[in-house]
Amino acid sequence: MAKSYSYKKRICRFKESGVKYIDYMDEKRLARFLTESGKIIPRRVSGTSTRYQRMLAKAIKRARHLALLPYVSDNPS
Amino acid sequence: MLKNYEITFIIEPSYDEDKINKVVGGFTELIQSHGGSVDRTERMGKKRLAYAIGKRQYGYYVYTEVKLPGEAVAPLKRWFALSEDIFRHLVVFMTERDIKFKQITQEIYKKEMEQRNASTRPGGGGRGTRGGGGGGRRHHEEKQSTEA
Repeated sequence: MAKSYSYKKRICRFKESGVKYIDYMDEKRLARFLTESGKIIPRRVSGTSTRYQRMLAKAIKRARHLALLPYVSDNPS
Repeated sequence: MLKNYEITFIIEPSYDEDKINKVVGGFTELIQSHGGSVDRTERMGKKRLAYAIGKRQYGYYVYTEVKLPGEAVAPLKRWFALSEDIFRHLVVFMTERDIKFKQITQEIYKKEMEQRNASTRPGGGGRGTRGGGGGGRRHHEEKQSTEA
């Protein structure tokens, strides 16, 4: 019976907080939306709304270009 | 017509203050020679790169907010590419809307920080507030191999 998934309503944390712009220089906030290996967490998991996921993805990619975030990281430390 | 841009570039980490000033000065001059203006320059200093760029582990980050005619962007990028002092740059076009939203967002973040600080201090719990968002990075315990 352990395998009953609870369908908890996920909330887009950007909508929730009223944040309108996702800054690519803010690597600490962006890092929360990356997996340990450096992948962008899909919105199916994080619950981010379409609009903000798009903005987020763009911001992460810019941050990666500036070497603020990794493209890949195999050893999380 | 002048447009708003955010330009960030990374200078060689081995450079001293003088050389960095020269590079930033050269950048400002170039912008002005194209009829633009540098509204804000923020030297974020030497930071560790998330990955090595040409064997460099560190970089000196400079963030600027610039007004520039659109035609000047191409020569600017060429200048960056030819520069030996700058090994990475990013030019981002900002619409009026972006600027407004960014401002709103920063105010929200500021408020959040204040709230967080206010709520942690009397509680005495301290340090509990996800210590600067090192989020997502759990510490991994190393498996110890038993050697005979």
